[in-house]
Amino acid sequence: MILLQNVSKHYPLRGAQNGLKEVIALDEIDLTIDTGEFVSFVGQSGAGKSTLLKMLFADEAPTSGSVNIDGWEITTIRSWQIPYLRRQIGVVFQDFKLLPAKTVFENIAFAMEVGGERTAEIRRTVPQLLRLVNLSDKADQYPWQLSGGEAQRVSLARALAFRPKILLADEPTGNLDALHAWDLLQLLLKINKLGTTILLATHDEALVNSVKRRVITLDRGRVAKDQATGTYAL
Amino acid sequence: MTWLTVGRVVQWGVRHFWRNIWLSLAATGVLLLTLAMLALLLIITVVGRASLKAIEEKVDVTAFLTDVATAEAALAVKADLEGRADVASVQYVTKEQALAAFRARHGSNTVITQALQELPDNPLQASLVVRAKSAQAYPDIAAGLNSPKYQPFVSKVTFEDNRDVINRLAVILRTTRRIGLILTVVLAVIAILVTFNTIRLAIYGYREEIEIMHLVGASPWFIKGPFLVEGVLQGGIAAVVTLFYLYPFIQVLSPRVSAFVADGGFQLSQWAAEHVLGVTILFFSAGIILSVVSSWAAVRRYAR
Repeated sequence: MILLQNVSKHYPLRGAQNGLKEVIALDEIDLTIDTGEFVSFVGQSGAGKSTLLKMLFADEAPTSGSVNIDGWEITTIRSWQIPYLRRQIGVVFQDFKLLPAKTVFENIAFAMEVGGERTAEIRRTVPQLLRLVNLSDKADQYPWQLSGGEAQRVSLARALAFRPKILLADEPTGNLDALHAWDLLQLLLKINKLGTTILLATHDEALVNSVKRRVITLDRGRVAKDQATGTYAL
Repeated sequence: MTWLTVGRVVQWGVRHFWRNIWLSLAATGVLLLTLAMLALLLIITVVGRASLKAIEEKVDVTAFLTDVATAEAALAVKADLEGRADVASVQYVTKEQALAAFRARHGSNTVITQALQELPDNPLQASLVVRAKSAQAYPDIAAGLNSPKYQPFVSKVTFEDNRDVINRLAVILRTTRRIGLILTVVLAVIAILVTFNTIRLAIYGYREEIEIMHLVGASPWFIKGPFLVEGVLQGGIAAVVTLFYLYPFIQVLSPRVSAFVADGGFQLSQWAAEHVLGVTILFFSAGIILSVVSSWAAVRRYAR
């Protein structure tokens, strides 16, 4: 379960003029997300979607309020605990964040090696993950040999390497065409069906509308709408 | 940290070293220069100390005894002297021994040997040769021998005052060591700066990898570790190369040093052979510590 209570995030503004000293990215947000939910965060650029997701894997700390994710309190988490938190949360990024000098197989194996997984387990799990994202035949290819959709699926497979209970996807379809975006969404739904909580931040109206799940609309750092089976409407 | 993680960190460190081989060689080269300076400083210190010791050993106080001093009296004075805390040894030289030594020294000089034969008696005096534990003690020992207590037995006290030479040599040695130490420290700082920047350049090349490592939950040690291993490799290689040329260099240098120091009584190569373990540890620890300290400084802020 994810619980946000009165969460605000302010960024100091350098060279501030006209009395404006900081940018308010999130403003007193209260949210509860249950285990197994599929939640889409929508909103214009700068609405606070990415900041919110970054807080959930401790890449940003809130200025005030409390962020609790599966028992981890982000406001008081110690730096040595962050790696353990991150191994329980999968993250998919808009720009994939794949290593260009490593093959598809190695990119996924790399994350598992970093997490201290045994070599035998890595050899067993990576092909399973590649099967899940339909990329078994691309294991030996490099990221530059893949289409955007394929690269994003590799990124998704890597995020799933530690069987996370929560998967965060920050604009995962931002660099994909409609067809690949649709493919990826189907994968996310499939993963959600297996029990993983999914938090999706996106601009993609068609995508959100087709999901028919909970939609939270953010506007200037505040929750403007929270609909149980919502549509994309700004 | 499990053995599996340690193994991966070492493996990645070795991979880093080879992937950035030119940067690694640059850092190793500067470390090598620093260790060369350290080697020079070590040789200067060892040779300097040996010379100082050799000269100190040449100094002694000789108390010439009067003819009234019997062997018993001479031995009593000897025992007195040996009781002093600052005296290392006392040697009693009888008249006969003095004459024998004199003859041996001047045996080839016919004028002297003839002159000796003309004399009815042995003209040489018995003496006590005193060696002190430190050069600073000689004036005090000499003063003691000149005291009224020994007046009837001691006719003359002489000591070759080499203290000036010793002091001068000590000052030269101290200054040389100080300059050597300063140069070594300066080179060490340069080595740290170059290694620091080398690793920073390497980290720049790995920034994507490091970012992803952070995101997928790598522990700080997993991120820092390979760079520290790379540091150990650079320092270790610099130490191996230093030892590789240092020992042959000492072999070549040793006979030349022996000719000047301690009348051939000091062998630098022998010293080096006796201290091979200490010297090896010194260079390995110096190289590795220098290199790891700079790597540590460079990666510190990358592992939050």
